Amino acid sequence: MLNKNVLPTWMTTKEDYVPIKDNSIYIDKSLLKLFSLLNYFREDNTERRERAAEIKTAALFLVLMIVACSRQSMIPIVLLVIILVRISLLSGKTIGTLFKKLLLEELCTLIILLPAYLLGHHIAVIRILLKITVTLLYVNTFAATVRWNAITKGLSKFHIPDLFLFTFDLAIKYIVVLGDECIKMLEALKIRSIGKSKSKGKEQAHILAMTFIKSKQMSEEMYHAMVCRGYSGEYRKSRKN
Amino acid sequence: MHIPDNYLSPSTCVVMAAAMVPVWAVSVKKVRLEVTKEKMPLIGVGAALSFLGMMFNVPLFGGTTGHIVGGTLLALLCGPYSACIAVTIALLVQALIFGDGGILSFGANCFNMAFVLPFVGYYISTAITKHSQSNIRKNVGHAIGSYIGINVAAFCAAVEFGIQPYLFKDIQGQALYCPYALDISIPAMMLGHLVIAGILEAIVTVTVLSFVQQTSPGLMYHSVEHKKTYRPLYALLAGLIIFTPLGLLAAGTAWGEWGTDEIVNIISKGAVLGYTPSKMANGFSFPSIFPDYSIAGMPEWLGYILCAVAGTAILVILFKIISNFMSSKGKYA
Amino acid sequence: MIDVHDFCFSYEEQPILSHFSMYIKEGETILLKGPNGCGKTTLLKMLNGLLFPEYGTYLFSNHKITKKQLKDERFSKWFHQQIGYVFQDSTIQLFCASVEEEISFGPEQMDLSKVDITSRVEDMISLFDIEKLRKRAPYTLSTGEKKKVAIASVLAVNPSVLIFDEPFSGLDDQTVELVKALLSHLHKAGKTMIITSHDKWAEDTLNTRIITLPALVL
Repeated sequence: MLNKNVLPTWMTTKEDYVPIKDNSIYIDKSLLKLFSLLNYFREDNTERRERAAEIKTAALFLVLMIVACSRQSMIPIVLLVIILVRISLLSGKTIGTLFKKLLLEELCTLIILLPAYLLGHHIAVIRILLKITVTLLYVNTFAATVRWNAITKGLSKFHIPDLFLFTFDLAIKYIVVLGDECIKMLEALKIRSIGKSKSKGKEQAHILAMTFIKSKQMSEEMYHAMVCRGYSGEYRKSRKN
Repeated sequence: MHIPDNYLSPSTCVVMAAAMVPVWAVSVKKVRLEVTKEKMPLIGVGAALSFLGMMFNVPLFGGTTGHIVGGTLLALLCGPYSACIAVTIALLVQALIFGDGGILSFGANCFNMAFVLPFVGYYISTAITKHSQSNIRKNVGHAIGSYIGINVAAFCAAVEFGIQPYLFKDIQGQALYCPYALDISIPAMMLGHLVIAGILEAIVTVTVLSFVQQTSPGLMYHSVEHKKTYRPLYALLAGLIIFTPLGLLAAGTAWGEWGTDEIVNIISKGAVLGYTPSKMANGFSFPSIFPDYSIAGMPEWLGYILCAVAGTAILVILFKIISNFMSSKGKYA
Repeated sequence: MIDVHDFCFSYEEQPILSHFSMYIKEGETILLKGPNGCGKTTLLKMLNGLLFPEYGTYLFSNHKITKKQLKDERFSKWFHQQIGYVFQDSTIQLFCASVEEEISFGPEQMDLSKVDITSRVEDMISLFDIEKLRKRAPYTLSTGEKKKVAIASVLAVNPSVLIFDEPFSGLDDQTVELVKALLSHLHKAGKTMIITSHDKWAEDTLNTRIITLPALVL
């Protein structure tokens, strides 16, 4: 039962609170960064397919090699047309994110190539720009259409040690899980930030500390769960197709 | 019907572009209000259809060629405002990426093909087919609307060409821009469009609309039907892409779309022109990636197909990106 | 007090809330019900200004709550002081080094005098009978103890609206009784409350109005 049967007086009267100005935009910025990071890793992105990930991975490397080695514009242009068709089949949201990233990358490339263009190397610059555009389009489309766990599944076909892949898989999974926890804590902090914060760094440090504690608890619980399911110290995983 | 650069004076181009600004503004506003995210792919497919249609050159008279535009078709599928936006963007992709149709004369081309054509075609079609359930009457209405639409648009283009020699001459009396006055430009443009291109536009409009009505009636403008699938339209696009090289068979350039090297030899009224208007010889030129739908080092027909594929993909991508900014209130019942 | 009109929100193209409206008077207690996945937590986040609807309007105390409006720091802080939110999982809202620090966090932000801060902290500690937990780190506490500390730290800033997301979940009977008693007192004191719960107690005891969210996501 409650220790008293009556609430304190200040709780029964309306609070006349006038906040003082204090900058808490750092919370929003942290939240935004976490959201965009997690969106990238989240596995419920329906555009990402598991089919033939190893073929897609190998194909990507092949395409990048071909583009790098080509001396004329014809091959990069043909590859450009192919990837444009692939992109046109994606959803508007994915295409939007893809091109937003691409725009930034292209801008950086243009700035770097500008001196060469001004010095008169027009054809070479245009050819380089074309090759870079094709490369970026292929890589970004690959990232948007192949799931992370499918990439590790694909890598296992190339006889990379299971333990490495397991650790890699777990790392990605727990970036999402812990990132989610971080977001929840930041949101809770945001709605509790109602005035002047004495030390913003301390608050963020506390959240990071809580995330670390949570991760430690989770890893312990996961270890116990694995032991209960027969884990004896050696990791052996058979990957079915 | 594409007006290339340097055929119209800069002042004409500015006036035509200025005339389009309010049209674009109203069209964008209407599209934002009426069109939901789910319907945007239809406009993208429409723009792609128009783009592909314009790649099919058909021989007209006097060794020139013409092409369909599909503006009325788009207007009957998605509404005249959406058609305006769709044709505008198809023309933009053509001008920037394939060097087909000018950059400076973009406003004039849009006025003719994205404004006059779809709106005239749409309102005439709907006036004829209003309240009618008869398929025959509908087809006749669509055919007449699209026929008149493309011819009115061709007339506008002819007038824009034809007034140039009157208004812009050098000291010797030679035209600075398009050298053919109204007495030549109007018959030259109208004959081909009245007899061949207009009929083709009508046939294509009626055929594609019937195709959509049969396979996916829910996609028609103001339709209350529920069957809505884009698959048949994508199949149609794929079919058109494969047959685009047929557009290369018709030798000769469309009237008013000659290059600066060609115009000096053009025969008109029995005489060779004999000179290249000075503003055309030293005019504005834009370096596009696939000039004239060709790819260096590749046979012409293959380059044409790849350009058709690229153009279609780019248009579909553009409209999917635009759909991100559209209202999706449709999904909330 | 709270006027929600025509909320529409979707996640990954799936509608979660569709044309949802509700009006809550000052001093009312609302029980928010609905099957799992019907958007209760999403709605609560929107009431707190953590999420914003795709369409619809939200008026809190006759102030329009929008993303733009909450960019105004001082308005945002006033708004967050007015609405107290007790999360279903108390762990995420406890991050200070000790229980005492946790409860004083809010009042310190409000720049109250040291006397006022101490008096509020003492009032909360004695109300929830958590004297022996004063110096302990919140993350070391049991579920019930964490819930008490979480509620105490929210009440310490004296919000006018209180939102309790599944307040009884995971608690032992004794703590459940404590929370129920607290909710009764808060209701009598005229606080506006929104509770989500599958427990029938709130329905029967607190003279609550029930708002049910329909299931949209299959």
